[in-house]
Amino acid sequence: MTTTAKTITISPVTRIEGHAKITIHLDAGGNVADARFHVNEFRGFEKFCEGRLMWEMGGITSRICGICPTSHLITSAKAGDDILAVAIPETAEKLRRLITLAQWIQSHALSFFHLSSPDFLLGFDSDPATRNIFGLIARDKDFARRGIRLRKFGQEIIEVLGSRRIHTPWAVAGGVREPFGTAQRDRLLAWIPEAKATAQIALATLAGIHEKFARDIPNYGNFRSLFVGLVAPDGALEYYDGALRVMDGSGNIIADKVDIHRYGELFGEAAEPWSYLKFPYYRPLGYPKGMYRVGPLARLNICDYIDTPLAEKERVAFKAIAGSAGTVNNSFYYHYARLIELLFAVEKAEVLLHDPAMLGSSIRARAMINRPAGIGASEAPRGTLFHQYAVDENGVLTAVNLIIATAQNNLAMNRTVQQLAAQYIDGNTITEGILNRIESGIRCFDPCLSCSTHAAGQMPLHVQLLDTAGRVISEVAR
Amino acid sequence: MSGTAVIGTGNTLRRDDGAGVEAARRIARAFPGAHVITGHGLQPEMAEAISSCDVVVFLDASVRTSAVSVTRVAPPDGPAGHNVHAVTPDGLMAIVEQLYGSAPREALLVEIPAFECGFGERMSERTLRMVDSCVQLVAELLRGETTPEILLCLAPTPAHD
Repeated sequence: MTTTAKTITISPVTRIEGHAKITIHLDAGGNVADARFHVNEFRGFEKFCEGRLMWEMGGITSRICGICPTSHLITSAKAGDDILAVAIPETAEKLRRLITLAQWIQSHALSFFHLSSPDFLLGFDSDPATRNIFGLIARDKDFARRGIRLRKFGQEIIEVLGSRRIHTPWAVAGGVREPFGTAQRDRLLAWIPEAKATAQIALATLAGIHEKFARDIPNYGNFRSLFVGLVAPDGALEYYDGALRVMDGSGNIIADKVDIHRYGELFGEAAEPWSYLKFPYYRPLGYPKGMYRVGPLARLNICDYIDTPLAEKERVAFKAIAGSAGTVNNSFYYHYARLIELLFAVEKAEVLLHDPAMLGSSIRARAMINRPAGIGASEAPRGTLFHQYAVDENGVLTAVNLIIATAQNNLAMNRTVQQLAAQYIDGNTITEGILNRIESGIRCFDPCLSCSTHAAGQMPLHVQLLDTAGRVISEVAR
Repeated sequence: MSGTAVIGTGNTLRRDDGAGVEAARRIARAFPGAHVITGHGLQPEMAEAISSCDVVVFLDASVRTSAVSVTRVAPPDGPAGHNVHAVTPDGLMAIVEQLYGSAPREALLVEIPAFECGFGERMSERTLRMVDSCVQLVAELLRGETTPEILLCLAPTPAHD
């Protein structure tokens, strides 16, 4: 029997966007006493944006990340709209909506095909050297090719609209820089049948995964929490605009139609000394009881319906999982919700591409600085994203606050790690497969740490077992 | 199989690290019909674009060489060691082969010496001169004035660790 307390460290966590580590603290009996998801990088975008012109923020904040730059660009432009106090032209809004959907397509495809499906299709215990998109290619070329092409479709929409795939400066306060043409529209429409088919194939594949991992799934962050996101005025799934809705873990709406300008009343940010990632919480319940989740799982839980037929049919099946619980509380179903959103994004993009208003020439409202502050919000792939700026009379930024989706899931990610560690770690045996299961619990949330604190790149997995004196008892590296 | 694809990668906000992108952009301007791709890094999504090309030329900054150098890129034996965050030229070639069953006849990595990689968009004078040399080499290739085989003979190969 183990008689010394230990700490297991997984550093860095792999196949996520950014760097992090996980520590699992064992008590003297070898049981999991605590588990923490540490984000150990810091970039401080909020601070160094002060003193820049408000007009530059789209270009600056889109540099936070190479995965979801478009979400930052759009949200920044919306904060700029608020400062200018303008209603942007219909064409501009619809074009912004299309590029937001493109962001969902490319990011959700990346999350499922490139990052998570290798675990499911190759196995948690398979060789980590080949448990990636390359291993997936070797196993199922068609599936991998479809995933790569689906992501490319999302990138191509962004490139067509914004002239480049990442870090485009296309959206600006008041609208967008460039209009859309029929040749561009037709080029994108040609992708729709294949993209729709691939999203449906992914959903069918995931259904098989649900059966294959039926015994594991109940351990993947299965707990009640609040769910937060934007919904359309009629309660439909929203991605670009709308108002905030908060739902509890039993399906009760506890706040609804909340104007985004009031987000500060609803949400606070706590900090812990062991992580640079903040811990947002729902103020009325306090910290940490006010834990909430955002992103696909939250959006699918809180919306009343989806206004595209194929995705709506899947949403009904998704909600059936909740049963009498009222909400789908298991974090593993982030994957399911993400793929439903992927299908929705393709369907909705098709609708927009057929809309004549997309080809309009009025794309930008011009105005001076009309308000001292502005807030923008949109649904980034990983959840609700807020940009809040304060400016002087010349538009020079005096304060910047960015509330990133991944941070809002921080409490829930920690809870998920704790649950998985308690289930799989027995204090004596730590296998590669167990470590990967714990990592994959984090991947359910598809965290983007580049956005939320920020880092880049990837390093090998390194795990250490330490006793209370900090001595390495055992070590695993890959 | 037809044509030559040029892929320039790098971070243009880290001075000389953007040399590959700068060289590719110049080539795109000089050869409007050329198949030129630029980006921060290589991505699996680029595989399809080069799968039907006869030759692919990767342009990237390098701190391990002091002159523009050319290396032949061959696909690795297996997928081990590759991940989606850091796709290498040989990894991309492996994807091309595995997914599309046909790869470019020749793949070259042209490395451009990088000396200053701090924050900033202005490249060092030394690297700018190297970019000129790189563009000249690739331009000769695109005009049919030289071949990949000749480039491999003429340009130095960087010393490997």
